[in-house]
Amino acid sequence: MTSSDRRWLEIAARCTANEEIETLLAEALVSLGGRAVVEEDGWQVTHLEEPEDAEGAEAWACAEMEALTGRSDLEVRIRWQEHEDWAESWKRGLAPRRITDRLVVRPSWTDFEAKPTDLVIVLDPGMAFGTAEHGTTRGSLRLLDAVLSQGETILDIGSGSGILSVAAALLGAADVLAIEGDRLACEALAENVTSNRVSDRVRHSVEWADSEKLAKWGPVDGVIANIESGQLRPLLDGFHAALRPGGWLILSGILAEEWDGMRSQTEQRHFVFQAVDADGEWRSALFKRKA
Amino acid sequence: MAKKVVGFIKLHVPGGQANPAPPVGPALGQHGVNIMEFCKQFNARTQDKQGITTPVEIKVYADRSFTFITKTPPASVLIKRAIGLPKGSAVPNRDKIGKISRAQMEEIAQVKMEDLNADDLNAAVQMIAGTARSMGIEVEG
Repeated sequence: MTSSDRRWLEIAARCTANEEIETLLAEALVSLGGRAVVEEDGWQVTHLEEPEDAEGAEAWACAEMEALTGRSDLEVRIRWQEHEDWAESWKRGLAPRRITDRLVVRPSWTDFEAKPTDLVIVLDPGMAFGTAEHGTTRGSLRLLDAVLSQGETILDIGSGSGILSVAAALLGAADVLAIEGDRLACEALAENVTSNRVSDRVRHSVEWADSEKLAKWGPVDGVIANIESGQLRPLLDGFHAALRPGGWLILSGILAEEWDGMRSQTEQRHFVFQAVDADGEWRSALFKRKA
Repeated sequence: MAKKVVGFIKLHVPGGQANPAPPVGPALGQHGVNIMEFCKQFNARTQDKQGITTPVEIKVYADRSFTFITKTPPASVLIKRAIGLPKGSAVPNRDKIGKISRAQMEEIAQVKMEDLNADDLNAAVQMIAGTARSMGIEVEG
């Protein structure tokens, strides 16, 4: 299934209620598999991916909500939401952006007049992290452009839409392994890899990274990890294990106030600081593994 | 001059796990909010509340910029977490489905103190005890 012909099971719930009940309902909706809950006109609303048993889904959702909340004044409303009605929401405000002298990110539905020397990443972010609208993505792209050498092998951890993997391939990487645990993001990634014609150089795997797996995925020349500080810290030893001696590491998703701590923690794990990129309140950084 | 508020979005999101998938993506996108920026900032700010359903209120301004505040999770959520209970009692007051200790309630009261209209810790604990009883949980001590 491509993202455009998907539909979602929308479950809405309300009670004659106070604020404590709002969160009780929200918790129940998250227990059913919702990723988050939005309040709309007094209803708590979530969306689930279309279940295998679509016909039985409505009865299942109502019964589960009653059991989870134990409320006699519960109202549950179920309907189907077509995905395409939403597609415009993600597109709003996205425009082509020049990131470096040669790297340009162009949303797939926009036009851009490229120079002959430009490397244009055509991107449809779908429901994934990774557009050039975010400082961490731009910072990672700038560092990647500066450090990457032709023919290198690369790991992209938490690849989201695949924007950094595609950029690495366009910049000359010989082999990129993109790791992403979110299945919806991987769908966007696969489409972006195909539309940028780099399928021969970018592979991907749907799984979450840990230090043990990282060691098996190496040795590589470079690792990119644009995630969040809290998730980067436990992976630092894994990054070290995945890199060849002298290999490079790009870390991003670091808030300005977290940067000093992140830098010293990374240096303690036998990395040498090379450069930091500041974009608004976000920091991206380049390190090299000690030999 | 204060910026003009053009949108107000209320969400509940598990701490550290905001994601552009529905319902967050469409809810923010329709107001023109930078979805990635919200998700990254929310996740960074709630790193210490991993997986705990957290209320969030987002204000969207005319220039599409936004601010948001996270609230402490409600007492009922913290109580369930403290005693390892998956769901509320189906028939409160009749089915006793668990026990909560004074120490556990004090811990919750401290987390909730800023939101509770309580004069001191003891008064806050009494409020937590009331919530626990209404959920069918036996209060100890």
